[in-house]
Amino acid sequence: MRTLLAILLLCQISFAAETSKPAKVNYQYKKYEHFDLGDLEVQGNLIAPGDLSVKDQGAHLMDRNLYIRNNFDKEMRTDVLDLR
Amino acid sequence: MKQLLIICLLFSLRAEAELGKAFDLYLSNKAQKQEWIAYEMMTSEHFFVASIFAKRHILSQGEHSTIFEEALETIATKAGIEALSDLPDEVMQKTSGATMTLVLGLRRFREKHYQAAIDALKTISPYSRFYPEALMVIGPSLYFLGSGEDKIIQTYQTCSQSAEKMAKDASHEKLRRYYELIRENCLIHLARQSYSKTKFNDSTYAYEKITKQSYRWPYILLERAWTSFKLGDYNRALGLVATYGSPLLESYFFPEAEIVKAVSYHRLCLYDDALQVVENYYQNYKPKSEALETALKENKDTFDFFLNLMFEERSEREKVGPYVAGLAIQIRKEVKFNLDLITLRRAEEELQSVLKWPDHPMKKDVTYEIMGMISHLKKKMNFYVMERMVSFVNEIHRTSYEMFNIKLDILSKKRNLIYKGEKLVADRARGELKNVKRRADQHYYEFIGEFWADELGEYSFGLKSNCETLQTRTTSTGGQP
Repeated sequence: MRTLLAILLLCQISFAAETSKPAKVNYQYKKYEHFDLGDLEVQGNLIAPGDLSVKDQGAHLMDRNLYIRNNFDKEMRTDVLDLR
Repeated sequence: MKQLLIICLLFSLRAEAELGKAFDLYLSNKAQKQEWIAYEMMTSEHFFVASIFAKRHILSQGEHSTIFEEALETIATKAGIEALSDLPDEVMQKTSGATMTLVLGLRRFREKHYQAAIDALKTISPYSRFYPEALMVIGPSLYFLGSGEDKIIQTYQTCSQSAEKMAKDASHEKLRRYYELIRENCLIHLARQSYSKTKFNDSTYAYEKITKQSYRWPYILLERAWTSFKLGDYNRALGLVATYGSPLLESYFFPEAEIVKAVSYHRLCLYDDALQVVENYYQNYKPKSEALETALKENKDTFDFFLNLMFEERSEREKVGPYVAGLAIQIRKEVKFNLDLITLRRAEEELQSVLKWPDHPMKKDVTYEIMGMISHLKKKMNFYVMERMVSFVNEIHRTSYEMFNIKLDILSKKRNLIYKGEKLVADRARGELKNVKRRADQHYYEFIGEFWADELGEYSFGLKSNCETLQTRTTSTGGQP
């Protein structure tokens, strides 16, 4: 028992002696890092369906009904009535 | 000289004798007196007076003889159909002669009772001088009733052939021109019939039978342009409407020709050119049409303002409003206006002659009637001119709406090109001969900023269609769609 107590006392004394010394700190700043997002790969299994893609959403095509002559009925009537 | 004086004296004595006979008949109680007075007045060349008594004879007797029918034809030619057209329906239905039948048929056609018009007109004999005109009315009547195509084409072909034959046999120039006009009308109707049935090649051939010397030719340029448009020959459509830019045709302006231009450029995907046509239209037509509309509203209730305008100096017409001078020239060239004007002048001359008659109850009677006819004619002509001008303003408004539609469509198409990252294949370049479509029998002239009379109506642009698109966006989807 005495021996055990002596050992503990000796360990405590040696630890206290070590912490009292000033620690040597070496600061190192982070260097420039380049990320290639295109090259990033995500490890793992694809669980979503593979044929999903985003399509271009075109603007709604306004197909207006332009004036194109289909007959000359009015002129036909006028020609008959305007002969006299 | 002596001989001439003797001839004049003899004619004068003869006219007096005829007038004396007519006066006596007027006061008599004879049953046939109206008919006989009509003959006497025709002999003395008082056709309006003759028409008054001819109508009274029809009203009292109904049926009439072959001799009277011949007299009616002469009256209709000299005093116009109008002089005979105020008889009631039930009286006209009873008469069997070609003249009154034609009047009745035209009345039915005006009322859009096409079957009744056909029923009346088909009774006119092929030997009658009104036969080609009757066929010219029957053709459109059949068309509006939706009859078989073969039947309609046959009617127009018969019309054209009979009018051509009668034109060759015509005794004088005016009659020849009348038949020639009917022949051309039938050919134009045939072309329109083919157009409405989407037989555009047949339509083109029928239109091309109208010669450049024809009075109708400037009017059908627009219709020919639509036919070329329907055939997909947009360059020729543009060339045909460009003809209206010729100094010879400066009085012919049709707002619809601007639509043909704009839609033709649109179909060639020359959007900037089409937009330029639209902008020019708004700059030229819109302010002028508003000014013309104001001038029309100010004078719409006048009795003879528009009629008198036709005889004013050009500078005076221009003071009234824009387009008035040009429209007046157009109207004065129209057949209807000219026929009415001749009738009016003849009626006024005849009134002067009647006023020189000695006092008699018949003089008082016919003076009152002729003055009524003159007043009616003037009102009718005044209304006709006003209606033509109002129609022109309305056409400008309608065309403005269509132009706006074209502009919206082009803006929409241009926007879509941007959204899709596309552009049209080429910028606008000058036309080239390789882009001109033409048949072996069609002429070709190069347009170098000058109009030549023999080239009119043959122009075709040579613009390349710009409708092919190119992708402008470069994508890096790594093979992904």
